[in-house]
Amino acid sequence: MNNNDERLMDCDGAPLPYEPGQSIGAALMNAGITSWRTTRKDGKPRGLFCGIGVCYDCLLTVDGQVNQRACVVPATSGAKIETGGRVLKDTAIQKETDKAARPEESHD
Amino acid sequence: MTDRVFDIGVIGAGPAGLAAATAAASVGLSVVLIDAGSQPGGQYWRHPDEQQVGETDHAGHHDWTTFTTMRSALHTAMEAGHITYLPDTQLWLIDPVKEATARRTLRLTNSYTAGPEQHIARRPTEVTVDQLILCPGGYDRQLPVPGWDLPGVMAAGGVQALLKGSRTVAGRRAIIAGTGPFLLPVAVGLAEAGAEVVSICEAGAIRNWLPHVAAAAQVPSKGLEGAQYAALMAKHRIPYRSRTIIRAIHGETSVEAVTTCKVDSSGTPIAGTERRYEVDVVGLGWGFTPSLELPVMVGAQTRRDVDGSLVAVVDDQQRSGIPGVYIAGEATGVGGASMAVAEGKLAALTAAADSGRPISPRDVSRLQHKIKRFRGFAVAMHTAHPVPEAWTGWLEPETVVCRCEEVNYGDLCTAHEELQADDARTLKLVARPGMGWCQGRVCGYAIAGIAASLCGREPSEEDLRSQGKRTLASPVALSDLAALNNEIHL
Ligand SMILES: Cc1cc2nc3c(=O)[nH]c(=O)nc-3n(C[C@H](O)[C@H](O)[C@H](O)COP(=O)(O)OP(=O)(O)OC[C@H]3O[C@@H](n4cnc5c(N)ncnc54)[C@H](O)[C@@H]3O)c2cc1C
Ligand code: FES
Repeated sequence: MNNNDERLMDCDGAPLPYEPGQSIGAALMNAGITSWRTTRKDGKPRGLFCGIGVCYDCLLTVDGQVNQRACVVPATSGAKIETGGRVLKDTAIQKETDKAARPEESHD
Repeated sequence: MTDRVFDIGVIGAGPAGLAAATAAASVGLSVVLIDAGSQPGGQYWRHPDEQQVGETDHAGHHDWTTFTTMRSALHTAMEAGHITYLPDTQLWLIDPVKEATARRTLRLTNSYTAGPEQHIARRPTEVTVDQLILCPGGYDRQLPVPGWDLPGVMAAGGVQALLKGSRTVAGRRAIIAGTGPFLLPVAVGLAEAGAEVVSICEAGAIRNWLPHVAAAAQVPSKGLEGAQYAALMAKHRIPYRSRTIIRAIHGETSVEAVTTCKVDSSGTPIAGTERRYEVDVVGLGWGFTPSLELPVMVGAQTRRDVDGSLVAVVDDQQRSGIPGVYIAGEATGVGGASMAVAEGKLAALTAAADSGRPISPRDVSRLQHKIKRFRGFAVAMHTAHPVPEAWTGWLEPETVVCRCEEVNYGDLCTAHEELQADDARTLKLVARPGMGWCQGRVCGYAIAGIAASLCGREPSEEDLRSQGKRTLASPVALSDLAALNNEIHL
């Protein structure tokens, strides 16, 4: 697959790029998104912790299937990810990622 | 639903399971190989999805040819119909042995239900087997620390899995902490991928190694690996601080900084040694701990290993003591991938012999000898990298211990003081740690340690076992449960 447009998912309505072979959790991390769920009791943010499907910290909804583990579900073109609007972005990292993703813009 | 019956069911396609399945097939047994992962390899040989990226280069993968050789054997056996391989498949229940047939039915479900078509195709919901080889591996062992529930804090193995499986770097400025030789490849992996690693914090002392050099020398490849990591750490200027722990992790909505400090030999923090590092990722690992729900489910005996983790008891041929059930790999005691491979092969040979197939006694004794050597090395490693005995002293009342049910250390102290919870089982019933999504996989070891320390005693096998028992091996959909048709009583 060499067409970048095909490597897009939809996260809460926003485009989320991914690299072939990434999990959904990895794609989110790559985009500077470190959490996408809040805990039931204290409303604390959660993202990836164990990275291997054991801790269930990374749950989100994919294509209408609830409670999927972001760290195990492979990213796939057109996947629709819903976090209930709980995505928290580290903007500093996001800028760096954007730069890295579009090197041609940093030539000026 | 299929009614297929196999001679052997192998659970897990990591080093142990791959070895077991291919060895069993090579002596003429029919095998079903069940694995929650998408492709063979388990934790050790985790690599990007080859259906997406094709064959990848495997720099950084030790023993890659051991893997590719076993994978070729797997493919050959699959083509010949000797192995039925079910990836993306979670075993969630092992039925009790049926008296009439002496067989077990294994209940299966998809690991996940969204994502690429080929991964979520319908799989059989049950298979029946004469014998069972359990190779479920393990996961990172964790000790809670103030702030460890902030996003950006990950299990060290999770950081590694993200790199190896998804080629994704968990952050830009990292600190890796805990104990054990595994911290090195994680730090080096991050640095090679372009992250800055501000420090490795090793709770143990380097000189702990000296008394165990003899055992380490029995496995020369380990010495070589160590030297390679030392060179890479020097190249990337990664400081290695022994007798150092992360005392607290700071941040609002994700990690911003950590405070480290020196500890004495019991793990008690030394005042005035605190240092602060700004980081956006923290990797925590206190070695690995086995996944024991399947051994416990079939009634296998367990014990507390030298490293303090609960492991399955096996004889010197991997028999669990439960007729027809064999156990191999991390589940019998954490000892690394090479030992897992040897144990997997031995389990298959023993299962074959027990079902009346001829096998070579020389192969058996060769494998036993190998396992003994690797075990010696593992014991040396565990002894050199103990979990510090005073670790519960690092906890604050508000430190989250159970991440799922959000039970903090203060809640556990209250349960002990006011409700007389004196062991891990009672703590779990009263304060409900380990009752959430992960079923105590992440906090079980810590809960056992906390229960013991509140009562001023050593953690017992029972403290650990009460955290490792799970009625179902994974959360399942109600429809899966309904399909049981009241056949058995949980
Ligand atoms: C996250 C992580 C990263 C690691 N990285 C390294 C590393 O880089 N280098 C290193 O030397 N060691 C590493 N280790 C240690 C390594 O896991 C072991 O040395 C080795 O993989 C053990 O082999 P195994 O076959 O016993 O288990 P594993 O490799 O863990 O394989 C077990 C398999 O069983 C499957 N399984 C378990 N239960 C079920 C079930 N109920 N249904 C279906 N499938 C099931 C799992 O999904 C897994 O694929 C890592 C461990 C972890 C947890
Ligand atoms: S990060 Fe632990 S289950 Fe996904």
